[in-house]
Amino acid sequence: MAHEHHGPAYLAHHFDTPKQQFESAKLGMWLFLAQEILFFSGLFVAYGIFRSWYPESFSVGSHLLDWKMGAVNTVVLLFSSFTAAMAVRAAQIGEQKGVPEKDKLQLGGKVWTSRFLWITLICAGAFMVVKYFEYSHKIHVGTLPGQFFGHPGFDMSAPAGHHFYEEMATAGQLAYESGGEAVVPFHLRTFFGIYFVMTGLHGIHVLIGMGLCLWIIRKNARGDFSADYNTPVDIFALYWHLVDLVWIFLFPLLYLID
Amino acid sequence: MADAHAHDEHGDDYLVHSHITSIKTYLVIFGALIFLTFLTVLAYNVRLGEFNLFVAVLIAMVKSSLVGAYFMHLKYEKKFNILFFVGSLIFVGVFLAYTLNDTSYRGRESEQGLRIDPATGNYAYGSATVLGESGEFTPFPEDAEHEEGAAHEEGAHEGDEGEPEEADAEAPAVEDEAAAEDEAADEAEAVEDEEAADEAAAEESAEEVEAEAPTDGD
Repeated sequence: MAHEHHGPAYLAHHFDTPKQQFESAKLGMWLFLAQEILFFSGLFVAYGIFRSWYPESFSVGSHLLDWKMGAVNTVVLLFSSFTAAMAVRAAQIGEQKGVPEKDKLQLGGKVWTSRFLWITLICAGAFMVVKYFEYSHKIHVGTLPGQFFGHPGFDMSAPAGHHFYEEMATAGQLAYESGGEAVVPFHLRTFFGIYFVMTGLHGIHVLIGMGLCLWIIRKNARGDFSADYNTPVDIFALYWHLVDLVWIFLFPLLYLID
Repeated sequence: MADAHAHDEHGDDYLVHSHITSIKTYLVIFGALIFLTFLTVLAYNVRLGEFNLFVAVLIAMVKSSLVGAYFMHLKYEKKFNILFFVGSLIFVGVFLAYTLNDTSYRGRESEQGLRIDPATGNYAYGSATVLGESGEFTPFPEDAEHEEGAAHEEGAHEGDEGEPEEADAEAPAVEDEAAAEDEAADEAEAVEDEEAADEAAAEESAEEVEAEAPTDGD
């Protein structure tokens, strides 16, 4: 029985049943997500170490970030997570053929799956646009990681311009206001190192998520999914929720340091 | 399996039956997440000192629990899969706790009074026999300052209080060794003196002790 191809078209020949195929995919995805968490945890531990060593640098550095942009991005990502969950729901419901009109579930089927996935994709794009404005400001000013600190555009031969000194004046003011001396903390460059690596890695995840989303949209348009088979939508959404989870922690830890 | 809707003896049709969450539930969870984001910003503007970080992380944990339980359907997920996800979080906790337990205490003194080298996390030179790979340890400015201060304090102790104590512990012991046979021992220090006398008698000759006595006493 296992050697002849049978059952629905979506059932790969190395699985006996749709259920087995689904559960294997789910298990694999949860293992991947566990790995993702451990992968990000290295950076969160680095964050913890440097913040405990240089609290004043993290406090001043955090105030140089625009928390409003971070907050907007948080809302955008939460909404995209919501729409991703709605896309999965729409795919799970399917076309409801032969279901009486009064019993039909709302916002189900291929069309709604597509709509919710597009909203998710647009939100991801909006997130990256905000991120672009934040990054370009820092690169322009020169609040960059480590040795690039004070060198706009990552150009080691470029001297810091008046934008950088204005930013540093603000930093000194902030340090003074928080009870310290009116000097720029040396390890401000360490804070920006942590900021760029953590948000950068997260941003790469968002970009990959956008690519995956487009791929799922295409498969959905092709009519690959139904109430019986919607695993790729489900798996993509799990990935997208994890990207959201990471940002839920990054927002207060980077933008909202007292 | 020729018929996709065939059921086996356990009533299992081998198909995937997803739990479909209602729109209302998703909307409520989304609303709660937005509210908690608002709360995060609000808590940031309240001066709580050290508790600001605690509150921010706590709210983030509640938010991620909501996303995990409802958006990621962990609430309806197989327990085996939950084990991996939650298990990884436990290991993140272990990772964080053990690492910070090392790095947060560098440059400070341990409970045993051993200084920890900020660069390596090993016991610093002078407080234990552990050296760096090169076998040398260049003290950091703050280390040098600290050690000088400590040395100075010890010196002050020796000068002010150490002398009478030292004299009581060693010089009288030697004197008493000779005097004890003829005269009654000092009542208050009788036990200590006897012990000192016994040790001295057992390990060192009387001449050596007498030879040392003047240098210690004076």
